[in-house]
Amino acid sequence: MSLMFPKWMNALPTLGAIASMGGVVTVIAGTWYWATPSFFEVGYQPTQPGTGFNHKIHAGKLGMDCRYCHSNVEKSPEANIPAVSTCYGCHGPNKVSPARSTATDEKTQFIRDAFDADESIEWRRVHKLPDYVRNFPHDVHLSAGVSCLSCHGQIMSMPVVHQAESLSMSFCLDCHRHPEQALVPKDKVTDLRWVAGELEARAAGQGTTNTDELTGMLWNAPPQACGACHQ
Amino acid sequence: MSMITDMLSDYVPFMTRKAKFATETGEPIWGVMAQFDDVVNAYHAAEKMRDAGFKHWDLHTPFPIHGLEEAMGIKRTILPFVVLGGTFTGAGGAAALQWWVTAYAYTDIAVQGKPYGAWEPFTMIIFELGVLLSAFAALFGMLMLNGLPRWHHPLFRKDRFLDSSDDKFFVVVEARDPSFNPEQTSRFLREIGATAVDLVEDA
Amino acid sequence: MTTLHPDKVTADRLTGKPTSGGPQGPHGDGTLFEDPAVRTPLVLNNRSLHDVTEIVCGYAENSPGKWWLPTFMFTATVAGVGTLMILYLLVTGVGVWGLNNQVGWAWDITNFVFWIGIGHAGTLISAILCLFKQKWRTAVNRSAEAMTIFAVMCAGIFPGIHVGRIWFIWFVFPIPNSNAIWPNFRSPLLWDVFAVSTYATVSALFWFMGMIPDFATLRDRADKRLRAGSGTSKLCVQCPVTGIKFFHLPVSADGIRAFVYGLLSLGWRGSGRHWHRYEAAYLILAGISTPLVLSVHSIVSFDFATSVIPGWHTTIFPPYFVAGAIFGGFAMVLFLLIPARELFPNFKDLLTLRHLENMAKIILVTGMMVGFAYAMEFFIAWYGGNKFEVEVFIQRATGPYWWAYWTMISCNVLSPQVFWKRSMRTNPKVIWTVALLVTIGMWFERFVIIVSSLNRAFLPAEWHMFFPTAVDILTFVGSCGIFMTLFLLFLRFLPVFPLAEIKAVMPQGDPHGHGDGGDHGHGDESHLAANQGGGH
Repeated sequence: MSLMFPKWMNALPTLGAIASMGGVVTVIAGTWYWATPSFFEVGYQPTQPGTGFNHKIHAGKLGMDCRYCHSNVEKSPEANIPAVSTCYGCHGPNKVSPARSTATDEKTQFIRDAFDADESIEWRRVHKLPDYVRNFPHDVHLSAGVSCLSCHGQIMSMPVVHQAESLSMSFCLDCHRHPEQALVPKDKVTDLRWVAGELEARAAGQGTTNTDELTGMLWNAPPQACGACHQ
Repeated sequence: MSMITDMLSDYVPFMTRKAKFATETGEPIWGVMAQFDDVVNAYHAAEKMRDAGFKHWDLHTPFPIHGLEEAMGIKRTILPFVVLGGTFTGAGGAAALQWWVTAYAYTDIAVQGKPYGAWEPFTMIIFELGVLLSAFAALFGMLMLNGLPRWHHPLFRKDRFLDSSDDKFFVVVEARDPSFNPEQTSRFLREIGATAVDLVEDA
Repeated sequence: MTTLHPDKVTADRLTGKPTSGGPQGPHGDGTLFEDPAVRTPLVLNNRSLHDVTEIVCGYAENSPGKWWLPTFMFTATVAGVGTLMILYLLVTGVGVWGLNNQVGWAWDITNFVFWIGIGHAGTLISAILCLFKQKWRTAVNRSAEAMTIFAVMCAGIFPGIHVGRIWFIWFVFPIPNSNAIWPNFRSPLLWDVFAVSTYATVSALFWFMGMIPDFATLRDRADKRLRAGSGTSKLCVQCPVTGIKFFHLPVSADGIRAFVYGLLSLGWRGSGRHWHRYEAAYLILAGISTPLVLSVHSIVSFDFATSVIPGWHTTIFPPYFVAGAIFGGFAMVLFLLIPARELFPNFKDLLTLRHLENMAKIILVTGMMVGFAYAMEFFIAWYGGNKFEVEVFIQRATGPYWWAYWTMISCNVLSPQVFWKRSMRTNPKVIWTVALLVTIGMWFERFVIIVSSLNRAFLPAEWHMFFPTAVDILTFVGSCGIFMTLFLLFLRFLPVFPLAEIKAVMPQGDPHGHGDGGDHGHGDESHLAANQGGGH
């Protein structure tokens, strides 16, 4: 009778220990990299209806202020999506430029179609928060001096908007714990080019604004209790 | 060098020890195995083996015999120190983790106005993790010191040896013992009361 | 020395008399002698070492009888119903249970504390009785350890599913995460997570380590039959009703046994040098498990005791919970093993009336401890002068859940009192009945503590009743099914008794020929001689 277990099995415990150590490291590293909002969420870029809305042209090239379309952002928790009439204000018949090309005309035809049909354009939401997070109050954050840039990234250079930040809980908490890294003067919050330059300079210790003054103007320290965002 | 190859040959297929002796059929001899039928004889045989100065020998028994380590002349195991290492790793790790989290990384939860670094609430998990790692160290330390798991062993080839987990006792002398000689060792084992003696081929 | 030795079996053997008909207790059934100098043997009927191997391995190798498969199928069905209820809860939410805003913990935590309490006897028997050198523990320690692990598994289900969103259960562990938050290490609920998971792990390691040599025995027996060519019986299952065999497999049962038990035995070969380290490891595990088993239920009790709910906020909770856990655990051991004694051949030789009597005494003692705790809670409520606490305790005994309270008192405090009488604690039927009552009583104890405290806490405007839903009931019944299914599998496939440990406490296992008990003076001077050979 031969032995039931072959000799190579004696090496299994050692090999298994090495393999499982490698496996553990792989699993931890993999989870660390992949199972995170910064992997799953950043870069989300849904296809918008019609030809979409080109923020690079409107906000970047033409220099329109964010609040032209998102008109309630300072007064309401919601940064509203503009009604189709706002688009129609410029893209209605014979509105924008006498020199407009036929191509542009065709591109914006869906606006006039929607306006004529008295329907909304179903813009798709890019920045979503979980249902167990209370509505993110845009008015509060703007009046505290948080720029659009902090959460939405450099919108002015995005032809099609995508999610630039992870919007994970640690992303929120980083700022709530260290507001001085992000606050800007209130009249500058929508001036994304200036904000980008300022925050970069501030990180290098060369900011032009007084962060003590900015944080000192806050009514309260940013809340860190669970109930502030989860109700 | 030969020690390393001897050790490796227990684990690596196709690697064999240099056998000093061979059976009549030419198979290399791993050792010799002697059966004892009851615990008293086995115990006294162990004492005689110890006094005869054998080094690489063992007594295989179906159950732990009280006082056998004295009879065999086994030094106290270092296992308690291995376990102590586990205890300190677990308890120290728990203390460091809890202190780092509560007093440094996440000082957002005030509990009854106590200082963030207060040690008293940490004692429970320090104790639990200390016990957990001690238990792992005890089991895996014991297995490692014993060279287990080791599913393949020359002794398992012997039909008679299968009784060692039932009610028989086996004194085994390995061929790598300096005073090993198939005939002389077998004779000695019979003298000290073995009821059967077999040569164990290397496998 | 030998002439003075009290054990007659040993005396007979040493004087050359045949050892048959040695003392087996005054009634030949292992009951204790009145004379403390005479020891009742731990194994009856003068079994040899080989007999013990045959008996214990026989349970794992032969069919346990016609009762096993139907019983297993029944408990597996119940376990399946419980699993379905858990799945229903997970996809629907905790609203399918009867708990509400006021009674936020109900059957879920009742069941958790009930099962974790039952899970205390195993480690207690293994560890504490091992440290106290109580050799009688060898008859019950393996099955009690198995029971511990299965009970802790059932216990772990409930806190896991009561959180509702079980996929977030990892929040309880200190894992770096993108939420930038950490668990609160000052919460007893987190201590509980560590205590219960440590306890489950250490109990499992202890259990497995104890079985390594016994797996080797099972492996060697299967291997032996294979080599003799008699192990050719093919795997098949016989229908218990019709007797028709089905499920034929072209592999031999012994081949599978030798392979599976061989893997599990880790190549154990009973080396004396291995036993030395094995025993050291076993003693260390016993030593660290003893404070562990006491800590686990203390920490479970902190879940309640550190809160401000009247009826929970008491310092007596840790010792009270530990005593209750030992009480309920021993009751469950007896509840399971007394039927096993009847159903398995020769089980009574290894689990004798001496063992049952010892455990009945422990039930009596711990029952009085919990009775004392019940009384002391009322005393402190009155003596402490806290109005809310007084009211909660009055409501506990006379309020809407009065029946639960008095069920608890009659089962836990009154029923074990029969054990004062010797004929009662040596009667397996009586012991089994009391064990059943205690098991019921201990479940009600946790229900009383949790629900009757919450439903009458503070302001009358908050008062609210709790009624279980069908899902509540079926989940609990299902957990009993899971427990019984695992235990039946254990009885069928694993070594039910610790073979090596039993052999070591038998007279034939004593290298000095002293038999059971007695001292172990080493008369041989050569023991003191210089040692050589491999340490560590």
